[in-house]
Amino acid sequence: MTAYDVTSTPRWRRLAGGDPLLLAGAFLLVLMVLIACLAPVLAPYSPSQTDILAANQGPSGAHWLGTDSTGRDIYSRLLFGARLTLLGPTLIIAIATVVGVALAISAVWFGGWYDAAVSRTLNVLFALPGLLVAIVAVAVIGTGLTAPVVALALAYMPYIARVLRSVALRERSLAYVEAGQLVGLSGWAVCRRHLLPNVMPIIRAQATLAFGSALVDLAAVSYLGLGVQPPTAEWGVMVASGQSSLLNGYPWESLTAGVAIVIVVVLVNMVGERLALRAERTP
Amino acid sequence: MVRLLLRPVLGGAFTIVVASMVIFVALSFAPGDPAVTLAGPHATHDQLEALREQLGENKPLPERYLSWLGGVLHGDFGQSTQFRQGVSSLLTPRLGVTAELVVLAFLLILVFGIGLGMLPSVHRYLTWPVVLVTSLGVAVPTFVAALILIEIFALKLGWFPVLGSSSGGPLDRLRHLTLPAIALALSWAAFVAQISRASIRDEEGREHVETALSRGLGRGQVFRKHVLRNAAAPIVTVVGLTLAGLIAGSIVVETAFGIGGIGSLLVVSVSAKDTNVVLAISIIFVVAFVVATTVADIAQILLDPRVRDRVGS
Amino acid sequence: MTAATPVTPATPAAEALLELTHVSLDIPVRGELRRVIHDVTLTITGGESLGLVGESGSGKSMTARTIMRLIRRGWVAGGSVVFDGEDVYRMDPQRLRRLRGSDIAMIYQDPRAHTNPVRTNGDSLMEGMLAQGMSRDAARQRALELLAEVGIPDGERRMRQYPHELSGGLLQRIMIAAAVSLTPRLLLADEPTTALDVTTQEEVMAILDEQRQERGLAMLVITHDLDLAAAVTDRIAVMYAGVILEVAPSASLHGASRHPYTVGLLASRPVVGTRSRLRTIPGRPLSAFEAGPGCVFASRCPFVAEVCTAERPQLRPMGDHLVACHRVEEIATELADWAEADR
Repeated sequence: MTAYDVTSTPRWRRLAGGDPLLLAGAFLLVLMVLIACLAPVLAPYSPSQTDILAANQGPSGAHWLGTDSTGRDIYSRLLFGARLTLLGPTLIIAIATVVGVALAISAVWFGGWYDAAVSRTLNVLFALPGLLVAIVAVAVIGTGLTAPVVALALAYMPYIARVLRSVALRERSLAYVEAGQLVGLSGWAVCRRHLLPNVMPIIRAQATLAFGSALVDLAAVSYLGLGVQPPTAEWGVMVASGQSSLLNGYPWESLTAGVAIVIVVVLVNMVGERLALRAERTP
Repeated sequence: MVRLLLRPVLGGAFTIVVASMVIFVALSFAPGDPAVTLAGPHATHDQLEALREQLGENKPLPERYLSWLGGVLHGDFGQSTQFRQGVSSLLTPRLGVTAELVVLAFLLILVFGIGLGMLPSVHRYLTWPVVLVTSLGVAVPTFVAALILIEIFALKLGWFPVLGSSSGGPLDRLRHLTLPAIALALSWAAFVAQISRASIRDEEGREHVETALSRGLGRGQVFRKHVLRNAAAPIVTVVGLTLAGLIAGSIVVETAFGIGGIGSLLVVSVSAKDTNVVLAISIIFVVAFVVATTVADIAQILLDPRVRDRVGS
Repeated sequence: MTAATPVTPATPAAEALLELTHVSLDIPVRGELRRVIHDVTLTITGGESLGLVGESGSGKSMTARTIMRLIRRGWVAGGSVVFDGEDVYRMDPQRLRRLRGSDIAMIYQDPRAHTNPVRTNGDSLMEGMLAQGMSRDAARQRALELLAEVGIPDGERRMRQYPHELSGGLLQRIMIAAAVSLTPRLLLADEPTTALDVTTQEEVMAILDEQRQERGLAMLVITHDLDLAAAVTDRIAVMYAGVILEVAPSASLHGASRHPYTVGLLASRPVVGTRSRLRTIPGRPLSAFEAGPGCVFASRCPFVAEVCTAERPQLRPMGDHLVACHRVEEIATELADWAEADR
């Protein structure tokens, strides 16, 4: 059997590891982010431009995905809505990951009562379902994106921290940590240069999978009317606003926004699962 | 053994107490003054102050928490500012509604979730279809599922009513709760199916399965006693988690289908700044969540003898 | 394929209990079928103990699984496996179930991995008997008797315990007890002592041998340890890269082995007391799928010739040995010298 020749494959190829599903999924997601960013350029109409005469129409040449109850173009609102719908979970996961990783690694590094305290706190946080925390946060701070984002970040942080902690515990007992210490590296340096790169694959995988859940939870908060408020374009809001139209026989607003959410979550889950598989495989 | 089982129970109780404290403290910062709402717009400053004194709003936080806790233990959750009645009497009928919905959804998840998970073991060719269906199912948020179901089965096909609440007999109530229960169960059933399948697949590959075959046991027996039995532990954990998640999901489904349970009341109360109701319902949800996970923990200990020794050490 | 049964020189008159004729096995790896066993031809007669010796990757464990048809989906077995006159691969599911356990039983290398951790030892011990139709009480009674026979005191308590509470040696004894509880006629022991420490190894082998002798069982002992095989078996078959290279009576194998691989294997064992350099066969052991069209040992054989890389040699009688080597007669004296070198 030939040894795997690392030198000749270009770096980006190695990163993706020749996994077609991973590449396809990641590519599509990046494409979506780009489209969302370019919404002002790509959207044929303004998301808030109403036209009562054209209300509740199905897909047509003028309106690719139809119009909502006030005549706004659904396609444009979908494009603009993508920004908030994708931004929210990004913030949530960013905060949750940074805090979760910091807590987990520091807990493993310092051990003792600090580790025990962190574990207890995480256990309590686990008992609070994400949606519930978000709702309570809205009750305290008010509607909008801020409260749910902070609350959900807090709710997702324990999941990332727990996975990280068990991995870090495993890694810490490995030889290379001791070796680093013997050579004279400070604890922080050992963490940053050796521990962190080895747990990176798992962080990536967990963060990606959590992204999907965070997206759904945040959209649910907006659907309930407690997050992003109408008439701002956001997919969860659109599903809610479109519900009365749906009951009257005009389902396009709700269903297109709903399907958009499903597509993004399917892609995110696919990418996350492939990343998790790869993280397991790396020795 | 009793001592082993006590650990998760005590842990659960501790978690409930701490969580209730956290929620209480958080909500104490919520805007909105119950005194103003109760007294009405024409109350004078003195009347408001007297009311506040009566409601105990001026006391320090720990004291307020303890008096609230004391009330709770007697079944008194305070007064609702929206409906001007006791929170407990407000919640009691609605609890039953939510419970019906959650139990129905849970049964659907057990049957279809675990069933789908087992299917590929019995019929190999179903593996890829099951994987695809469950991957899709996991990605459908509850509120999206709700609307799709309404569109297809209520509006287009007319098999079920659109709204979820009914005042008829049990059969009529079942009919009204079917779509909501399916919407609630969908993504969780898919998730349970995924975990079940992975767990069963793991166990099928274990060496002790071969040993059993080499002793002349039939395939069916081996599957039941060596694969399913061993796969049970992770499945039970995820089912416990599911019950917990259903509780939160009921908030969305009740809102979508107009069901008068505690979930929809929570949403309405947040907008109405009815803090006592929000507090009470949140605590109920947390308790239910913790009870579900604790039961799953206990089941784990009972199912896997190795866990007993690990936990005990 | 025609079953040209080679006559086993050691026991000419006895009837063969198990006959393997040109058995092959392919396993799918990443979509392709890979050969794990090229050609195994063996016979075991009733009451006989045969050792199957080879390095890791030689295919010996797979041979045992192939005998009991414990192959997974997608694996392809070729050749014929005949037990007591019946073709194992033509048996219907019911007959096959009875074959396993009642006719042939197997003991595995790692008893911990091969025992269900969530069921009690008693359950594991009795499950085969219950499957045979025994009543629960009868099975329990028998289980307790067997535990005593394999040297496990306090059987009642052990039956109530779980596998993780017992040592590897105890678990292996229980596995032996479970195997013989089904009154098989042939016992397959796949590296029965490899996972145990040295003192336990001796005990377990002793128990195994005792059980075999008392019940007149035939046994196939699979191992990489030549000395172990020599101590407990009547005959030894040496396997390499999915092919049997030599079959001979145990005593004769050590003194007078005919195949260069066997000689190399014997010579490479460290000898206590001497300070000579450890001899090795140059190169590394091949797996069956890596071997070329000719003799599987050709790439490492010091006596390789052109004919060796062209054609695969079949097992031929040479005295009381069966040897698969084109040049066996020619190299006989050279081989002896080579074996003696640096001793």
